[in-house]
Amino acid sequence: MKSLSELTDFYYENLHPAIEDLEKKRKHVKSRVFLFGVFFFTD
Amino acid sequence: MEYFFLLIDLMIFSFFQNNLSWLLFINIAAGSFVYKFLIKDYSQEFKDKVISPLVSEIDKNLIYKKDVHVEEFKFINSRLFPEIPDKLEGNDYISGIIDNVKIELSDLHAKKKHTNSHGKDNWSTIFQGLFIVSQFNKNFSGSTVVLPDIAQNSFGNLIGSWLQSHNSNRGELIKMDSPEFEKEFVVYGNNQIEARYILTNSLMQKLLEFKKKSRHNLYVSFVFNHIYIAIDYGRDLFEPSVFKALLEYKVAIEYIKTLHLAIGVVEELKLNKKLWSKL
Amino acid sequence: MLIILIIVVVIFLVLILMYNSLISKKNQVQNIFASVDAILKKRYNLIPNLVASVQEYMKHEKSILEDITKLRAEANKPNISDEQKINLDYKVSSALHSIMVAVENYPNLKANENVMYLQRSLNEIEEQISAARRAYNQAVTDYNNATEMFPTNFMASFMRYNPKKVFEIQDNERKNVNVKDLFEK
Repeated sequence: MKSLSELTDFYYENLHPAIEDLEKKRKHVKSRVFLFGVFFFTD
Repeated sequence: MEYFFLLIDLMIFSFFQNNLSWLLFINIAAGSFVYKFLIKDYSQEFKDKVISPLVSEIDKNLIYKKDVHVEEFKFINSRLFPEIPDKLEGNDYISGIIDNVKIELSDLHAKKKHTNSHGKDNWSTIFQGLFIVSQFNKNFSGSTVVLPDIAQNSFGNLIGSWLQSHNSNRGELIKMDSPEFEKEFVVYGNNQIEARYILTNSLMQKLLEFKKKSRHNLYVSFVFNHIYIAIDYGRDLFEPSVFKALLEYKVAIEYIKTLHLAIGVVEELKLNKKLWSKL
Repeated sequence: MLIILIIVVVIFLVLILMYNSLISKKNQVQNIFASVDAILKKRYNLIPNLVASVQEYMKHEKSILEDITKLRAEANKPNISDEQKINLDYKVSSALHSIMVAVENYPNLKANENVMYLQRSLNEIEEQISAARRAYNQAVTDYNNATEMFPTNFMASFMRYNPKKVFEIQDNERKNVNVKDLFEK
């Protein structure tokens, strides 16, 4: 079985493009969640 | 970044002032529902693009299904939690054969329904965490259950062991000959010899190490040639949070470590060590 | 008057509880020993087959083979005590171990399918015996504690319950015991 450090390398190297792409989405979703929070709790 | 929570705190404060905490409760429930809805696409994509490749990187033979969980009958067969759940949810199912050993695991959340005097339903958690099922390398017919030693830890030795020996719906109390193991766990079973045939000194040692690594309460049972392991994380694992960056080391290593621990159970407990009686 | 009656009743109840707990501990020891005995018999039954398949090759270890056959005959005698059985188990374990170590010196034997099968069976039975010994020792320890500790020790001596002997637990890597020394005492 692959070791923890091998898997960490895999995460940061092989998965890097996908994760960068996901990070953009995450920021977008985060701002939507934030907006929703403001409306939801200040009504 | 944490304004969202700050807002919730503010709400808690104002609601308690107005003694309307139940309204807050409804708000939070509705809020978390909407939150889940908002991040649904993101979390699905995260599982497809991060968790799934990680699983196949650990071993090519493994299959990952994000919306499936270990079947309910296996949860009940494990005899780890005597209460029959009214609702069993879960996701992040992984299955496959590692070193000729069949293994499957997933997130599970087993809940019990309680109806109070006003006819309102309340849900309590029986178990939430990682549930692992694997073939065991010895033949046996009975069942042996290893539970966290809560009684002995919270009531001390004397009363604790008295409580343990009177937990009759669990079967016979089996005292093991390893003091370190006895400190962490309590063993019940229906056969004194079989329990020790399964729990050799080396397996007890390995379970202790596994427990230390997982840093959560560990429930282990041996029923009809299978080993069941429930790790009590108390939350849904492998779910992304929109408030944490994916490239942050702490976030990344958490996913990797949990997967590695769960799938590594075959190697860790030497379930791959073939015994002739299983050939 | 009533107080005295209550005290007498309480003492009587405590005595009954102590008596019953001693009996149940003794029975637990007996029950587990019965299982131990059954597994030991399984191993004794393998011995003739083992001796028959290795004796052709093992010229130098003839004495071990003879000894183990003798031990088996002794174990099969009727009316031997539990304590004797425990002693015999220890001797048989070390004798079998030395035979298995000796097998390593004979490539022909090592490759022999029958011997390989016997070796695997013995390993499996050894695991079962080891579990049975541990279970028995735990039961005996509970029993011995009750016979020696206050206040059940009084009840035990009244019932003529004596402490019992436990199995010696051998290390996983048992040293190659010289069986000859064991018998020439």
